[in-house]
Amino acid sequence: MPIITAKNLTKYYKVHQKEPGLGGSLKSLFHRKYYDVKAVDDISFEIEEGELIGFIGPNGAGKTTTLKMLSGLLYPTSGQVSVLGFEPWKRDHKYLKQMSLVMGQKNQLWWDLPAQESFILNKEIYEVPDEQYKKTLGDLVELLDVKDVLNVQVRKLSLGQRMKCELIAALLHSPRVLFLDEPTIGLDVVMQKAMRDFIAEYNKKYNATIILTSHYMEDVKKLAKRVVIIDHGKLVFDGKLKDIIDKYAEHKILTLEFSEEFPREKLEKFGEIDSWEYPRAVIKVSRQLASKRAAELLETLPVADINIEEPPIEAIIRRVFAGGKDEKVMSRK
Amino acid sequence: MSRWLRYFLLSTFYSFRKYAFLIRLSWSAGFVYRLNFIMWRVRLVLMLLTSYFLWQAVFKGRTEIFGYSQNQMLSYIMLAAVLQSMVLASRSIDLAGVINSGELSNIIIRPISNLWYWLSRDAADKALNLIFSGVEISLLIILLKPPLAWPGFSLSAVSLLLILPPATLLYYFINYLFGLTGFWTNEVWAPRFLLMVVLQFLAGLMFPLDVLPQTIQNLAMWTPFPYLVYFPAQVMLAKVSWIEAWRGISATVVWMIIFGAAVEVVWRKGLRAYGAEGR
Repeated sequence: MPIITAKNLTKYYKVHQKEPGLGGSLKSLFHRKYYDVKAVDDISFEIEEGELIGFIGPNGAGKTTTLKMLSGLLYPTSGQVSVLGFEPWKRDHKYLKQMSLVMGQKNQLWWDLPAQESFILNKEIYEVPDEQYKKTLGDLVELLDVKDVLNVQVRKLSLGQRMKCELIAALLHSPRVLFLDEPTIGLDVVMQKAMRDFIAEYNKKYNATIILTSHYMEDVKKLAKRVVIIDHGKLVFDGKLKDIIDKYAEHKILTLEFSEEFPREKLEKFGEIDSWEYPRAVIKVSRQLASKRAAELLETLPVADINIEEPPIEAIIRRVFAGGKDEKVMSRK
Repeated sequence: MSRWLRYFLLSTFYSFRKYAFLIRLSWSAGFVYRLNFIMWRVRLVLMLLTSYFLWQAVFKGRTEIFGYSQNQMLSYIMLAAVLQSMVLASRSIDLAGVINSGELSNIIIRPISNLWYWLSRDAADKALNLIFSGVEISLLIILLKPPLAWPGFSLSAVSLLLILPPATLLYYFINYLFGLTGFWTNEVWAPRFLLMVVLQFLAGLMFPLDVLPQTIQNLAMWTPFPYLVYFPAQVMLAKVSWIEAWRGISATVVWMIIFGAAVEVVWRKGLRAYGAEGR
């Protein structure tokens, strides 16, 4: 029984068009032209309890809009959503008490007061019993290591500390479903890792269902087994991360090291040369032929070392967005 | 039956705790921008002093103007200042901005009511303003020693308890309705400024409405604004008869219901238009 279902989910935004300049502004005062932007266009998926899913896509692809519809902030233009058996946009308090949405770029903590105060407010709002509150807060504070900053005015915290406190505020009521929109944005690498470790831990420990959007492939690679790729409001891919590689990567990358120099032409017949700088060469070989070509290379050329790799996931995803056309961008990496 | 009752009592108790804590939090946040708040109070005191001295000048050599003695007029001015802190002080003027910035998402995505959220924040703001205006007025009375016409603790003062809650709620709903324009436009301050000007005159903040020509006065009484400050002040100064008092209270309640209903309708429509922008 899936915990989240979206069926033909669609959201159009009405945007008014304004011509540039003062004249345009005046004109828009009296007569406004509207056009529809398809932020999310006919997306369907199902998610089981305890899954940790990564939503990826370029800016403006519709990831955040999808999250907003799932959490109940936005009213879908058409299609159905169900989360935990509720229609999110009705915002039944019974539903809201079981979910949480964290937006990396925005805060729910009271800016002028210590984080602790916002925590207590959430405890009251979510009606968390005292005992449970103390225990959850203790656990979270320990996991995220923020004991020292709880009584500091939120505006004086660093971005990393604030993000951690945001997460705590969002998790105090132990939500069964968690939506994380860019939780690592703007954080340094150390903090990004801490955040990732925490999310993975939380997912495991509480069997919470988590949907995460991120620009950082690292987040998705480390955390999500299943990936949903959205582009231009359309669902492009839904499946295991490694299936993307099987589906979209047509080549493997062979990195070679040679023991003596030889003319470039000799290498060219094995595959497309990406770089050639004695003693190293990188060539691209179609997937089916990769092992055969490798064997041939070892036989005919003075190979000292050979390494067969999948192309980097970033490059594959870029290819997915480009509709498979942009080979050049992919191979440059 | 008893289970239902238990559930009802428990949920009421929890709601009470939620909003009580919110009031407390809003109260402490109010102290963070001390200078801001103090300047706001200074502005109100200066405005009060301006009309105080203006009226004092107008009364030079006369005993009565527009049916007011000097005592009554000065009492009205001071009373209106206190009532203003009670009825008009609000945090909910931020609502439009909060909708525009998308910060509203934080509220509607949690099991809390937006209407009660802002009412709680207003309550904190009113308490803060009321305390300050109480101190200010007391100081002014001590320093200026104005001749005041205080009708004493009469039944009309008791009826104030009946008038102030609906008047406060009426303003809350008007204010909230203006805030909801944030769902459709980013230009939320233009209508707000207009409202402020209208309030200055029609709510009776500068002068009691009955100094105006009868026709204008009659027209004004058909709007909701006089019931915010002017009417409660009149009741408190025992300037109205019992029948007028009850008529006024009824009008306040009717306006409150009208604006309350409008808020409900517009809020529902607004949520559908809400883009949760920037968030």
